[in-house]
Amino acid sequence: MDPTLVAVAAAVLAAIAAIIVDAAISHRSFAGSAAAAWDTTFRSAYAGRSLAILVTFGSAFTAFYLVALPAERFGALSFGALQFLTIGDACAAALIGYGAGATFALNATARRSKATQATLTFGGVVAALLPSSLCCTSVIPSLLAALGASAPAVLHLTGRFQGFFATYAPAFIGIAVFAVLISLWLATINLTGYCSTNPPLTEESP
Amino acid sequence: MKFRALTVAAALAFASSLALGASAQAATQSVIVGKPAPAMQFRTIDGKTISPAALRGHRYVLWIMATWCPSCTTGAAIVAQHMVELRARHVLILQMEAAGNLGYPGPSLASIQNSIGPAGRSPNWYWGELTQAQSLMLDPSSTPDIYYLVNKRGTVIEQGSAPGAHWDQIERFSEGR
Repeated sequence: MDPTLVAVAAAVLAAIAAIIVDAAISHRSFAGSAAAAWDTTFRSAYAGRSLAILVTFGSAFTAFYLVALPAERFGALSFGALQFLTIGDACAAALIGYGAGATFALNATARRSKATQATLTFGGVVAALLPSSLCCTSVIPSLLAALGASAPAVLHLTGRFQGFFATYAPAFIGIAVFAVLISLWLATINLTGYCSTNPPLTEESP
Repeated sequence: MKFRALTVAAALAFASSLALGASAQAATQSVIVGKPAPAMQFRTIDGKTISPAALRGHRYVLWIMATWCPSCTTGAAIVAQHMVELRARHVLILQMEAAGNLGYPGPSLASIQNSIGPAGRSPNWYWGELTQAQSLMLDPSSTPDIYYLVNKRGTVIEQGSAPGAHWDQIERFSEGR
């Protein structure tokens, strides 16, 4: 069983549970909020721009992660890594890529991006990169050496860090998927909240 | 004023730590491309030793890895795919686990050897473990998955990381180009 696929499935289920709980606590309808956000973003005067943001950022991020996620197993961030792509990697890449793209589109439509939302999306995007960038590269040894660790200490510490990131890579990818899905929900709330207290978005709106 | 003094002190401390780190690295850096490979006795996981005399006159890949490293296990599988031609070209592979697996637990080297099938037991493929001193000398920055290409005269002619991702370099080396 692909551990990344298990982590992604767990992250999606956890995100759905968290969103349902949040919707229940705040007396929102999950389906109603999602439908309203969809209509405002992709069926309003801003539909063209929103779609362009979704497709551009979503495709770019997805393409990047399709290479970056298996790079840890391949040993280099290059197209050769694609031969080690798993179904779990592909699902994670699509969810993170298009999830981030959709979040940007929703936030752009709402024209206000709260710091927490931006941080969460950014955190998700970064978390997915941690294993492939911090394991089996010279990043951690160089940092330790730069901080003055002696060679034996580097020898011992570097494996602890890199081994940790390598061992728990699927968990980091799961956390990234979770963070991006929650960001999408926060952007939905942001957008529908904006719409409920403001005039409808049109091209003429300031 | 106090803040500025603290900033200057922090910058100086960081700069000195950089210098110390660099000197710590430099002190143990003993494998240099273009120079002879260090003469070492390597210990294999089946209890044998490989002496410098046994390596003399052979081209070999000295590969330092950790068993928890995903690209290392992938690299082993890629080496296995090319083992027939490596053997035909009399190229030796010395796959050496860094001392203490670089401080993090992982599967045993023997289990990785077994997982890749019969090619893992090819007579030109040696699986072993480095001592702490050998690890410090061959891999001072403790990056798993690095390798050195050593020619018949015992000179290190190239070094790189992740053999699986840079197979073209090893292919050229094995062909004697």
